[in-house]
Amino acid sequence: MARRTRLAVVEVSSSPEPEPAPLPRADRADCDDLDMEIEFDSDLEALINEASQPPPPPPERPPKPAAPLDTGRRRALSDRPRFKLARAQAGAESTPAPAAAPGSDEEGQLWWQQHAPATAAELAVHSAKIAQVRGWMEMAADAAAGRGSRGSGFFRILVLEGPAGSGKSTCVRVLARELGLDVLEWINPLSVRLSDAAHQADDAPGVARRFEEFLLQAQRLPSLALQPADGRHREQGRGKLILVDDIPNIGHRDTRESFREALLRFVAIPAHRSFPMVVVVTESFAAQQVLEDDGARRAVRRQRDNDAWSHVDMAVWSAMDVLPAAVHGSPYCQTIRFNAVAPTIVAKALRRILHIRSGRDPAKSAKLAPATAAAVKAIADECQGDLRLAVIKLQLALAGAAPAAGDSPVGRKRRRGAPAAVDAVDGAAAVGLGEARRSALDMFHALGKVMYAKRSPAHTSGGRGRLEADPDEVLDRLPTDLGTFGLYVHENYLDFCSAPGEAAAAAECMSDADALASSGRGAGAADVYAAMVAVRGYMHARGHPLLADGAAEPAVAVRPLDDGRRRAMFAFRKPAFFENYRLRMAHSRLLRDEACAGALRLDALRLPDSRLAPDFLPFWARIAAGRGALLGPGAPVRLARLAAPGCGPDALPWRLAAASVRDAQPDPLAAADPQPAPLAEDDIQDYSD
Amino acid sequence: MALWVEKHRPATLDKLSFHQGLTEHLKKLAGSGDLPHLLVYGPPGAGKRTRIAAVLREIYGPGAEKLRVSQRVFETPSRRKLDISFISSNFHIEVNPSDAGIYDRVVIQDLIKEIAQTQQVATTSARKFKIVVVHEADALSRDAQHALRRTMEKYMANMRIILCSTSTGKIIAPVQSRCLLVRVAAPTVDEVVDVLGHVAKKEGITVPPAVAQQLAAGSKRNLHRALLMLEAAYVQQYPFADAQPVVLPEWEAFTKEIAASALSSQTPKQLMDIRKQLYEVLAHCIPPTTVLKAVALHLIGEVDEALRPEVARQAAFYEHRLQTGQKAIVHLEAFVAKFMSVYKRHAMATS
Repeated sequence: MARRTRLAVVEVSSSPEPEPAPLPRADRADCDDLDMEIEFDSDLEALINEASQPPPPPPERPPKPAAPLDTGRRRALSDRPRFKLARAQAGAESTPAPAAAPGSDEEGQLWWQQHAPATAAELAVHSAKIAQVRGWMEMAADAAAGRGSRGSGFFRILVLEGPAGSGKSTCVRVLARELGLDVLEWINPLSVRLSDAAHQADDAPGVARRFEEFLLQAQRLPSLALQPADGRHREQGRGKLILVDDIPNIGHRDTRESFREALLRFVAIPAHRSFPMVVVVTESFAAQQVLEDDGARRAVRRQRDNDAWSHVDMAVWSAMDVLPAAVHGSPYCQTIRFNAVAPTIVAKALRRILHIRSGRDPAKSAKLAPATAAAVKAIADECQGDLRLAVIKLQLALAGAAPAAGDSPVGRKRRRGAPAAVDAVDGAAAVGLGEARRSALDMFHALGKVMYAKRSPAHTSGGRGRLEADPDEVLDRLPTDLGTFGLYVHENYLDFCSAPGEAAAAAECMSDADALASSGRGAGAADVYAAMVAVRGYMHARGHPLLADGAAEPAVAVRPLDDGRRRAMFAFRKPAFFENYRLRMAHSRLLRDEACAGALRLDALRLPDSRLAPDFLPFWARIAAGRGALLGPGAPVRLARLAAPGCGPDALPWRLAAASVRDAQPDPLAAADPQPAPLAEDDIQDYSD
Repeated sequence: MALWVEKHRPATLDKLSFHQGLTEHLKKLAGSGDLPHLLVYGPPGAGKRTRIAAVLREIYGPGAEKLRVSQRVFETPSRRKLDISFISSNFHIEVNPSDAGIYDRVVIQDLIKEIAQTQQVATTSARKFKIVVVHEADALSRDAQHALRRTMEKYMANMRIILCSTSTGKIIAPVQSRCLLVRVAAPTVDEVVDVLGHVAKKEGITVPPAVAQQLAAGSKRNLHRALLMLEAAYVQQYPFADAQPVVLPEWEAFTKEIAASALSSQTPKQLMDIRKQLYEVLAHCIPPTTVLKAVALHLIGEVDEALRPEVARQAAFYEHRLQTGQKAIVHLEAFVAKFMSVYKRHAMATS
């Protein structure tokens, strides 16, 4: 471990040459490999103890691997954020000399790191997407260098959204390399406390403060001129790119707030005095955060169903949640969405790796052996668009077939004179591996198994036949948590019921399930039982002969719907629950704002929504509409919208009243939607901050 | 623009128009120089808050009417900051615990301690104590009520508490026993009509007796609502026609529609449509309990005599479910589904 050189500010950058011999070859060391960074070494412990030594290292220091670390550097290590380290030997700790054969890299490395694309042409991303990102980066780099054209000052933050393994980070790195930008990456520090709050007395800063420091330093400090061993200097004055791939734990409230503040401050800096930032938001990461936060949310939600808790929003975690609204909505922030990689592209990427490994030229598309081709196809189909997962699977599948590594130290790409070993891989083995890994059902697959509740033909005259899908197995293999799945079942079950008796029995089970799930407060197995009650209850009720309520409507397995469509083709819906919840919260806030601003000021403070909405609002809206001019512009329209659910019989006068007020005073809200309909998306935005 | 209901609120005990016996008692209490803790309860719109305000005025004089709204930040044990708004005068402070959510205990404790530890400084005041008015006291969590119990005794010298709630059911017994219970019943229809006439006279409008009767009946003896209805009707059409329809809130019409569609056909498809309507009502902040009650009452009114107990039973069952569960829509829908099933079965059995 002592071989590893650590520097205070590191650039994961890269010389454009593909084979920089014994240099710090950071281009190969893909920065995603947090695993490599997590290793605690014995001297790190010692370093932390010496944290009080004088400040940072001299900017220039040749990375002599065996040299003892000076104290300055130790300090830099122990109480600064751990920036990405340039590595003398990527993953080759055990190799004695820096001149070790490149081939030995492979022992410790995964293929997805090793064979990460080096050029934009190799990226498994749609070329239009690459062009978009490249365009943004060029503009941003120009702006940072002070030679940007008009409007390029807005290129401050780029958000790349997408599922895991869709090539977001790789795309940024490859393009940065091609554009000659140094990438400064934020890596979450390992040995710090979670928050500043917990130990305010200590002067050790928490993650959030460190993030701010990181941003400040990235702006202030010039790129360190690292002098590589062969004496070649890096090109001076290269632009930099701040990459935030490893987002701080924003599930933690204090950290989240400081993170947002730091970003807000960052946006406020003019472009030419700073560097552009790329934030990579991975969706699976996000889902996890939501779950962590869920306990707290549930407690609040339970307590007061109609309270105006502005922070409780049950939207899906996305870039919207990671970035503050003021940043995300500002012109300084652009978003580019990456989609999951299509199976054909995954297969192409896998073939490329196989070709590289077998020593062929990846550009020429030689045929693979049929078995291998089948395995590649199977992996590509099963990886759900996660390229990284696909490559790992491939490596795993081939692990047994490959000969022992390290015996032929030729160049990496020319290694392996035995293509047969690769091609002879057993396709069945790869597929089998895929099966083992694929523990989760696709959401709609699971839903379909439950909703159709198919039964095998009855053996005896009296029985109903066995369920083809075992409910327990479905629940075991859910892609989401049980509560969410329950909502999906609830949203869709009515389409599959044919008689009110069936619907009532199923609905009762759903009600039971919700009551059960609420009682456990997240502890114990209550939610498991609840899901079982809901799913099994529905599956039992569906098509039950005793619930069919007479012979008029016999429950049959597949029946056309009323409008003639076959039920078998029915599309599942997403639960309306979340949208409704969000709407209710928005209405609640709006109501409170209006009430506090309007005539009911004192009443509004004295009464909860549960009385304000049903008892006062409808009348108040009418009075306000009649005297519209006395309230603020637009108020009557907003009130009328709040008061009138749907298009009740009384809605017409409201439209008229609203229209008259609108004519008098043009109001953006009313102009957007003159009907007293539920609030539109843009209205909610106005009040949610 | 002050609403009539605020504008014509009686400010003193003398001006209160009904519950004369109660008024006399309150007058004596306020005049006696001391005041016990009070627990004022009664249905909404009966005049609880009006009476509390009048008592405050009786005790402290017009100074108690100079209200201001202030904001304060409380910090919870988990270091969350809560912004709570108060209404206060020099002599009293009003708090609504539902603003504080699950942290009401913190708010109540902090607030009461702070008030109790400061002596009354206004020299004009003859009283040594300040008053804390807690609205919606039945929304107080159990923790908060227990916190209240201690502080009620401890700081009796400097402070009195007036709790205001719709029923005593959710107030724990120890708190009840430390308070003087004051019941404010809903006004009778005639009393509501009287008040409407009184307000109309002050506003210089004439309300035909038939309209006043309709309004009073439509308000369900909720005076607050009756006055709002009067003003809404006035804004909508004046002079009043004798047959002028009473303005009802949109959501009530909407729940009526829901009930009607449940009665018109009983299929899963219809239930699907009803679910959309239920979502719509819920999105407008109407509490699920209110929705269930409105729908159930409409249904009970429409169905056959023999079915009524069963529908009521189901309504009660799902009301309980609403209290225990989290997702209101599931329970509301289950109630409608159950109703459909029962209704259809009954219809088939009788035909």
